[in-house]
Amino acid sequence: MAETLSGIGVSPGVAAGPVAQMAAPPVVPTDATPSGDPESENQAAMAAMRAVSASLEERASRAPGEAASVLAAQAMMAEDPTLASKVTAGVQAGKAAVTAVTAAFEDFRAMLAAAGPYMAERVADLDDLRNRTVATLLGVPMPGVPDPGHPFVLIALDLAPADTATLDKDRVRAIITEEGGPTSHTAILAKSLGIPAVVTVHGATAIAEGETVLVDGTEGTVAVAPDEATVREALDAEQAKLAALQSLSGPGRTSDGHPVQLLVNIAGDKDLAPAAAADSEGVGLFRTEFLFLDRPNAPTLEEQQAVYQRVFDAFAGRKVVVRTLDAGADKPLEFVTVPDEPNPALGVRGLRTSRRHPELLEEQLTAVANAAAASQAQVWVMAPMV
Amino acid sequence: MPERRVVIGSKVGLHARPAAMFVQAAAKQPVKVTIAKSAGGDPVDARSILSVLALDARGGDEVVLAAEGDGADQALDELAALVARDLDSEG
Repeated sequence: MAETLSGIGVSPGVAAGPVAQMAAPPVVPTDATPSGDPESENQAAMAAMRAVSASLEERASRAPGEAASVLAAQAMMAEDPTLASKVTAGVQAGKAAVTAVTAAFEDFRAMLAAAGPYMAERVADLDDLRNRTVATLLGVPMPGVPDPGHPFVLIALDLAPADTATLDKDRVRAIITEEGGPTSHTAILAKSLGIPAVVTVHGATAIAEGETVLVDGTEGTVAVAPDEATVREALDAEQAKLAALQSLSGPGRTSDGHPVQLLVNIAGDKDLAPAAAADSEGVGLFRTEFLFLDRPNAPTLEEQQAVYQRVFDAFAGRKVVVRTLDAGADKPLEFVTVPDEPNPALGVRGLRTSRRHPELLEEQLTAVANAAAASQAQVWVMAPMV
Repeated sequence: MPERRVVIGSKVGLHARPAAMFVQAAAKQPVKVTIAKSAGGDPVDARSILSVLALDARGGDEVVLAAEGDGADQALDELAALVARDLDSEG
């Protein structure tokens, strides 16, 4: 008899597949009994740390850009000679390998945490490393997103940003979390990837590995072990709904006739084609930072004008709201951001930078105006962080 | 014991990439090199990324590098030159 669990649907869509549970971080046994042979305890600990480091290096070699350097830095931590000597000192003092490893990590964790919030990410890297080393020593599943080798429905207590960074939407058919909420990281990520998701599903983490579930991210339901006919019916209904939606077009409005513009956001050249193809009334937010990031100088007027022209031409006859440069804490620019800004998130950023660099805004507006004059789009300009 | 005092050239300090580059260079030296903040604190193994990060040495801080044995002076010169460079803005 199929059982249906309910939660809050946070990302619409219907999908079915076998469950893969995300392993929780391993629990360090408080009563781990040392074997009484410090030499073998030490060998076990060192072998675990080497294995973790090797697997991180292997993942780093497959990961793109920034993710690769984060993984490589983590592999370096796993090979740290001072960490190793703390572990060795621990087992020689009569501790079990797993206890000595945990204590050594805790020492460094305290030191890094004491260095301030600046170190928060390194502390998280270190915690992940400890969990991997402990899982290796205990022979329990590695924490993190599972890789069963086929598409699956991911079930977790909750997802952290680090877990979701590597989620592959071709493999993850749906996401179910036992905790979380409508504004959680899981919800935001699932929506942006277009993966159906249901959160706060009590009992989800108790569903057996490999069990088939049918997930409805709109209704917020999870059917456990549904029969094939039910699955087929639900997936067919979903297809029919999508097809019906695709046949709808035209300006947006509420059911009582109040017009509401449906606008897309773009933040780079790669967004342009899919955004222009979408049935929208235009662009509600055209972020221009991508033109300015990762370069030592501002782009020239001509360079900017050419990009704006491409966007406006793609949205000929539609609305495009251009947001002027918003450089700041999360998007520092070499030629704009002040290194000693006391409040980088809310201080001199956005429009305020034009007090220091009026020429940047001047040039950007000129480029927008020139491109707008030569296009059929209805061009608007938005000033950020006024 | 030979030592070098050097001001950190990278704006971010001995964190992230500059820290990794420093530790990798230290690991290639034939002698064990230690690093400490001039302002005080115990010297730590320069090959230990976690110890170097925990120093929390910022750009503009002065650090003391020390080593003993054959090749100590050359190792210190090489590492001091590295610390003084603005590693973060290179490549």
